[in-house]
Amino acid sequence: MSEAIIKVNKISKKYSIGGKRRKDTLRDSIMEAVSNSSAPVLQEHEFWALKDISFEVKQGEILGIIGRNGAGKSTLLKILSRITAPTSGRAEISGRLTSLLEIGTGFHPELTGRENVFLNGAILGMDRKTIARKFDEIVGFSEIENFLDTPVKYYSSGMYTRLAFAVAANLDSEILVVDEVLATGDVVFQKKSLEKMEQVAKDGRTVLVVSHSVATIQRLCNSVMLLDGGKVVTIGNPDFVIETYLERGLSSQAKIEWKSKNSAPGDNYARLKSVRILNKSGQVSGKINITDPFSIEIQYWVMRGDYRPTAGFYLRTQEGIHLLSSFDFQHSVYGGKQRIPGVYNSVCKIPGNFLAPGFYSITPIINYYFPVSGCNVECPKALSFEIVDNDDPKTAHRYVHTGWPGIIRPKLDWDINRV
Amino acid sequence: MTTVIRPKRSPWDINLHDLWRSRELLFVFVWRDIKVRYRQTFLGIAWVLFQPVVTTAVFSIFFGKLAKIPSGDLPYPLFSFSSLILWNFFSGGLTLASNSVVLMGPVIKKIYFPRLFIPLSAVLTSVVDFFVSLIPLILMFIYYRIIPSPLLILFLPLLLFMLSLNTLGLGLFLATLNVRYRDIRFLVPFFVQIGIFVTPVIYPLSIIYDYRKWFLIANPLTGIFETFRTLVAGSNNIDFGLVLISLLITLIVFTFGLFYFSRSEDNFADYV
Repeated sequence: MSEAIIKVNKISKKYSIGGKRRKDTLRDSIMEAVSNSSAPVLQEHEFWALKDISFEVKQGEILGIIGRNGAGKSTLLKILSRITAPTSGRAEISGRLTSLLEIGTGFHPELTGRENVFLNGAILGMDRKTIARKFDEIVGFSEIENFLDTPVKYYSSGMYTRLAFAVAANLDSEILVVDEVLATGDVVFQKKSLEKMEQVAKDGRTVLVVSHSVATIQRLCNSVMLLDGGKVVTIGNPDFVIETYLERGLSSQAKIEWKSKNSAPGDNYARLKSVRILNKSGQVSGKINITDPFSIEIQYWVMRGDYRPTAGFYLRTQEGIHLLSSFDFQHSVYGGKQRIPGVYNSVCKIPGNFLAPGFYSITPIINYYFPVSGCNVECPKALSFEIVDNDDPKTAHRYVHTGWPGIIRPKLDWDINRV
Repeated sequence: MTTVIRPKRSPWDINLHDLWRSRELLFVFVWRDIKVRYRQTFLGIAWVLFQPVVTTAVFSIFFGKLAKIPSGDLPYPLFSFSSLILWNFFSGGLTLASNSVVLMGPVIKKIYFPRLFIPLSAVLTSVVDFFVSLIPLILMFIYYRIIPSPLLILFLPLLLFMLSLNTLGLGLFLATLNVRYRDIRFLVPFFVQIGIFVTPVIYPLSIIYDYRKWFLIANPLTGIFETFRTLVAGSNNIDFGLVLISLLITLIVFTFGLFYFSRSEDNFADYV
């Protein structure tokens, strides 16, 4: 039981993004080569998504991987599932590794449910005999017996997910990999993966799970690894690692800044300069008291005066539920207008007594609209923060100290009359 | 079963063991493409047949009747049809292969499987289409009362193999380019259009003289087309020198394509 099933030795992964203007077309490449005088070639921006990661996972271990956005969690899982290769280093995996991320991948809409089970199974690495043997089980699990010979393009999304999940869940593998962060949004899927994870864990198989949810990690894992900036901060006892995570403020990131315009995310029209979460006294803070109002400040460069930009953000819960979206185009002066190029600062005020306690992420966005609309920048979950409840009697739950249900917690007005 | 994860040491660091172990997937991909194409059996087969038959009719009128391009021992329609089924295999396979990796992008981003299977299955699918288009060829043999050389049975596999290697080699190259530069897909049809003229498809090699002939011989498809038509015409007069040159260049094309593909296949997921 104590045999290491995964051995990772100094894995590193380098990406080059951001700085360099992305040359998506051959024409861009050629134009750049020909006209090197007119447009300055931006410096290629390299960064290490992972740097010298080493660790071992033992048979039957349930390893949670935590860290803030960009810590390298998803990259690590991608390398271990061989989706992308490391830049250097070496890992050895004894046994089959499957990922619950893969559900439904490669389904062909024109093919029937039956055909897709075989296709998907093969893509996931099952041989035909195994699929044939498990076929009835898969179909039973998916509850779509009557539609087996219907092309999946006619399936409802529920049927589709059930069938896809049934194939993935019936894979025999020694190691299961779950990336909760990437599976955000689909609540049904998340619930199913969680159930599957618990069941697999009970069977004594090995599980690697990436999650933003401290609660999930605490409940499931018997070992936790904390990543930050592509490096292992600490690995081991869950309570200890989670404490480090929370203590160091790694669970929240209240500020993100780009030093130079060239390396900032965006395009030739607009680029992000900084995004900050400010508490009621205007200080950067990743911990907001539930009763306090706070603001989200987006600073950005507008480089062209001939279009209508709008800054905004998506606010998501840590479970990935898209709670709200807000954009500055309703502003009385700038809303709906073209802007003189320059640096702009858009601030959105969020009232106190509105969000429930918990962790949230902010995805800053710059869009343009009218006559055509589109996106200049979207930085998925660039920021994260926590709403804390210090048992303040001014909150919605007042003196109730047990859990208070609901994903938002506004303090609403009540009228009471004796009739 | 232990999987070792490490960066490739060189583009020749190809995991053959892995390819062999997942070979079933290759056939599942081909089966999927064939199934989808022939789902509506009539339209599927009709399309594979319709294209060369109509093109042959058009070519026979313009190149055969009006331009009077010589076609040796073969009636021009048979000449152009036998060339066109080879050409359609090449151009169809090349188009499918060069778009294949980008089309599989969503899957590549989520699952590992040998990336080589994607363009390879595209080419194999075209082989199946080629066999379907042999049916009208046989009908034409009967109509024109022409008996092809018995050597055709022997040489067809070799010629098909060479044509497949060319298609795959160029396909691997273009598929890789396509991952980085998305406008390649607009370039491929253009490339194919030019290709039909710099390959002896609508005319025989014999009408080209002097140095220009060497340009054509440097085209690895030339030997394949010439040999196929010689055998179709019932002659055993194969130009072995030409076949050898074509084979050599074919191997170079394939090796280059494989090298180019293998160099970046491990990182496709980061770009598609």
